[in-house]
Amino acid sequence: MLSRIRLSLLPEKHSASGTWRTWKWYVGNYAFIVPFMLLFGIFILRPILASLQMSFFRWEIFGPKPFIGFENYDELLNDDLWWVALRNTVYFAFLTSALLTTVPIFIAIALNMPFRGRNVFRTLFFFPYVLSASVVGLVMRWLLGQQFGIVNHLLGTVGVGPIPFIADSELVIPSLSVITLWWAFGFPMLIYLAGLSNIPQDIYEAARIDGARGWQMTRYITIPLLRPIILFVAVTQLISHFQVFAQPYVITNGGPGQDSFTVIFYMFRAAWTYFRMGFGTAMAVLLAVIIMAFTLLQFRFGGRRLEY
Amino acid sequence: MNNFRIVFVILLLLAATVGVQAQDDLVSEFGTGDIELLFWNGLTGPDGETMVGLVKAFTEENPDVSVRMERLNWTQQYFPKLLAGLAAGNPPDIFLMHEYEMTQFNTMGVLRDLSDMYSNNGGPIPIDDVSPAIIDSLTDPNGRIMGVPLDFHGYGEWHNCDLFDAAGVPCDTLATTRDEYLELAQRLTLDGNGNNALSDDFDADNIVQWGTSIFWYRPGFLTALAQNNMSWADDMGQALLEDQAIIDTMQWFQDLECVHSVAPPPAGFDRYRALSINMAIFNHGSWAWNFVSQNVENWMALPYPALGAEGNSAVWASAHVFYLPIQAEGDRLEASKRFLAYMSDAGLDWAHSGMPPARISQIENMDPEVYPSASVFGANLLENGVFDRQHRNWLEIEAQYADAMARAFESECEVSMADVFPEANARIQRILDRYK
Repeated sequence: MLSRIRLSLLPEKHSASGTWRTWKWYVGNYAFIVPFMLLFGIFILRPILASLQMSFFRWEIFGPKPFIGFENYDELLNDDLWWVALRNTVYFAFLTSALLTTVPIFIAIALNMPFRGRNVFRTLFFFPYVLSASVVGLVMRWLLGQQFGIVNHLLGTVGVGPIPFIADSELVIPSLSVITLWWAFGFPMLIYLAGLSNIPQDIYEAARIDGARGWQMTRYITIPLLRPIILFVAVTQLISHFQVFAQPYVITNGGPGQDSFTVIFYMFRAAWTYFRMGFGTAMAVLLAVIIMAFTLLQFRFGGRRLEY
Repeated sequence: MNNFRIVFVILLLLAATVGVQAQDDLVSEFGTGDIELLFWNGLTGPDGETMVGLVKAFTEENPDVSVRMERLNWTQQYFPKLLAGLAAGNPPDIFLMHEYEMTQFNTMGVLRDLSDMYSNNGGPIPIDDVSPAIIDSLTDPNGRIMGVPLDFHGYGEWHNCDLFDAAGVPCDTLATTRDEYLELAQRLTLDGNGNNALSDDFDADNIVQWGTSIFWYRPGFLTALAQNNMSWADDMGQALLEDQAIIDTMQWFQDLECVHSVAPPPAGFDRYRALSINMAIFNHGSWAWNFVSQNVENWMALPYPALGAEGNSAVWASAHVFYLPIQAEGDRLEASKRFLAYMSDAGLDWAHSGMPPARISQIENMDPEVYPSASVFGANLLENGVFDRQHRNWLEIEAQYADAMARAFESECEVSMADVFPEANARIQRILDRYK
């Protein structure tokens, strides 16, 4: 049916007036996407191409900008700090994406149940997402401080700690992940809520008649039917958290030592502190390649046997 | 759904209000004059309030000028914004940095020559009244003086006298050697049973008062280098951080935590607040004055101790410096120069922020009753202050040794200085070679 509709919309060919109509048909359709393509070209595509170009130059904003071929990439691949930053980034991205893909499902399921004040809770749960990174960072630094943080103070009252959440090399990335979970889970929660509302209720009714109960329905109906949404959330979260910057920048400044030093943090530093734009953009290009590779892997393995 | 909207809008407005309020606090406008100056600085702490007063006084004295002052965090916002402004050809009329950034920005060709601000070139600032060390640090290879110093700040030692009393040590005790410093820190470090770190019964797992701390690694590192007549590079462009003497010197500091238990693990340790509660000696800069005077009841400021070879009292020094962009011209340039001259003359007013002034006569005329810390630090810096070596990519070099020390100091004693300095040395050498 769909293909027949599409075919019927195609313009006629083979005659002079048909060619004119074909041209008009294409122009008319492309006109709709021109504004987007224009903005995309100016604000996305051109910077991407410019970054790619800059990565082959010793580009330091002021002064001469000699072409140096792959020298920036060579330096990067032989740079210990790049590998430290990449390791931390991969660790953070996978841990945070895993948390932000799974935890919001259960919160969305809970908030999808009918109860009084449900919308207030949805708002409250979503609210941290609208806070700026600096606000979240400052609040978390106060909360999680080792000596004077409120969390450690409360733990101390029950004889636990103090725990160096953001000052311990082993704990810092998990702590930043949990902070990010609190901050950002509103968005995947909304996506899941939208997905949940699309699952037909009669499937649950049928399952109920067959004797299925809470967890069984979640496991055998809700989660399988949410798989396309889960894949979407997993992919977007991974892409997003590979680009982590604000949390280490505001909360830990890359420390302790270099244990929360991430790729974008390093890129920012190279470009805006060392003024080495060429070197910084080489990092951006490599990170984009890595993100693309992981995204393709996700689609390859996560996209199979989707149940719509 | 109504509930959703109402709660959401209330929360959003609340968040927006907090953000706008925070932003407003760091932007100030003074005067109504037709010549409008934009002044950027990184004075986001209490010293920024002192600067607010100075700018206000300047506009009152110069009614034809109005000034918009924007304060941004030094490390995280200031340089990206300044660089973007300079690159876009739209910089502030006046911007504040340090002396050690001069070479880097001057190499970019964005700074205006300010030699004509000094008396030897007919300017209003008597050049003989400015510390020669500061003038040297602001002079480029062509003999041009590229900035006007606001102050002459640096490293020193703050004591919490109540904590000294608790340990039975006079508050004005100042070590003159490393061994003396260690012993002093051991006397000041107390466990829950009241034993100090020299006692056989001392319980290192139950420390309630710390003798000292390791903080902001760069000034401590540069002071240690200066006191041992060393540097991170020589004049031939050779990085020197593999020098065993440098590694040993910094290892001594790490051992204060890892061997002697007189300093807490630095990562996450809030030294400012600890000074008012349980840390007796705070090695820190002159800029801590506002915090100390407001939060510590009985305190004392002393010169940084001589912990190097042969009682060398050298101490890391720095200066806040006014710079003008190269494209400055016309009325705004003239008004900017008036602003700089005013600020140079107002060094004693600025010293209320705790920063010793840049002018020698002002340092020498500081009343200890009025300037209890700035007078101490200023006199010591004038005699022993040593500025850091400059380089056209100083910011990148500084990050290498600072990162190396962070890796060691914040490793919970698992990484030593010998583990990190060779790598930092190689990285610095690569940077030096890049610009040879």
